[in-house]
Amino acid sequence: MIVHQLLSGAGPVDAVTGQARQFRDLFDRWGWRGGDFAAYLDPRMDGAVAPLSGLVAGPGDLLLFHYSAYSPKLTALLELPNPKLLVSHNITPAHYFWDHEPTIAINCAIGRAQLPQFAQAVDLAAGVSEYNTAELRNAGARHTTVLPILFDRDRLPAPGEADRARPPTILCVGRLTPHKRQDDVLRAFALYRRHHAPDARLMLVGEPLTPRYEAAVRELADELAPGAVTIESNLAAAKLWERYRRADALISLSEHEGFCIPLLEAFHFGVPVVARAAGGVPEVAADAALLVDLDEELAVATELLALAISDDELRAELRRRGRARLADYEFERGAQRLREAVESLSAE
Amino acid sequence: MTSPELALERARQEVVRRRDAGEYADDLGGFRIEPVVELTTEKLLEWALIEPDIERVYSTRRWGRPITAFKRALIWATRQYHGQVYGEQTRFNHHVTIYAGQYRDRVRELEQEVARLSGRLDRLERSTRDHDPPDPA
Repeated sequence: MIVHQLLSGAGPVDAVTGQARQFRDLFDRWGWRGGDFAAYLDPRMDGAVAPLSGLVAGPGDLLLFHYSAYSPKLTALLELPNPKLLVSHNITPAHYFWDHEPTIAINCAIGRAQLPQFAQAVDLAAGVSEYNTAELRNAGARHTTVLPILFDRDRLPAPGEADRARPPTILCVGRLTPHKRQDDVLRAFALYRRHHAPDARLMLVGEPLTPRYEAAVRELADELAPGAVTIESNLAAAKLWERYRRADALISLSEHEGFCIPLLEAFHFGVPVVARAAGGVPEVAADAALLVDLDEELAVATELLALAISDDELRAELRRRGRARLADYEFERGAQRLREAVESLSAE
Repeated sequence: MTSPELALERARQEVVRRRDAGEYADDLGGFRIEPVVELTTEKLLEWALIEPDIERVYSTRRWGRPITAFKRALIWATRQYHGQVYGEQTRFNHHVTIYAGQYRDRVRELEQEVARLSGRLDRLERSTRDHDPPDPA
């Protein structure tokens, strides 16, 4: 079996590149051949992904498109007669970015507009969640499947025991971008401090959209909870795991999520989750998190945080359910789904 | 213990209870992340001018200083060509910006015209109603 992976862009800290490399490790394990190619290469890449111009595909080789951004160079490859699998990585709606980074907004707008062309041209279109897959069906995909993001718990350390004898600490993990609504997280946290725990701390972890956006988030944090919020980006994995161990709760008030990996990470570390029921979140979290409706007022999220932090029995139950949830996202199970999806195309 | 299924309802009730007790009167709506980019014609015209900074030409490699110097020398050597390209691009950008500005002005004029005509239509409808003959039934 020969599978070539095609990406719009590849970078050392890019989640889609990371997923493609995980796929390649599995392909190697299964004895499959092929290469990984990107239309745009970050100069810091170590050579594991080649420029798209280097692609030489034999007639029966399978082309696996990772679609995460507008890419005219990838579009041209849809004309090839090879079997094709699309993995859609869920492009954020453009309206979140117009006020903050118009170039990204344009990229998202064209990327979403171009999705039907990809969805209709491939033999099988896969979303990372059922929510994401529904988008592909709406875009006109003939055959769809769900290929959840591969979550390898083996690379995470053991959860460890949380130290509860310190101020309540809340964690929020995710890129600092408008749709992740760190502004709402800061407001909910400010309410939590005013009405429940004046000494509470908030850790925001994630790559900022731009340095200017990060500065704006910092400014808001200083206004709402001076000295109580830390904002960190570019964290090494070990430091991120340490943040999970220190956390009493994870909060996500994102309005657009295809999957939301931090939920699974929180389940692994036994950290109760309060999240907005947006996109793929209800599907991934199921009954293991406390979910607020999209239009719910922030005070309700604050009260849920208070419950998740102070009610020990509720915490224990959420931990138990979180562990059960992880079984559904077992790495080998995800790998098997990927294998079946690819093999279904090669058998045609 | 609160079960996860009941937590949301309990949280909602707690908000109501606290609000009745005078809490949660905080209005944090004013605390927001202000738009970083405000698109004005002046801003677009400023961006339309392509003027790259040579300081942004560098090598990301560990021992990249000679590569940086080489890249900058190449750019210096081809400055006549690049100047021409930037000039063409800038001219195009400015034309597009002005074109967009003209459209924006035209849309404003049409919106004002629509508002004026809607007002006139409302007045006409009202006066027609006032002069309607009584229903014989």
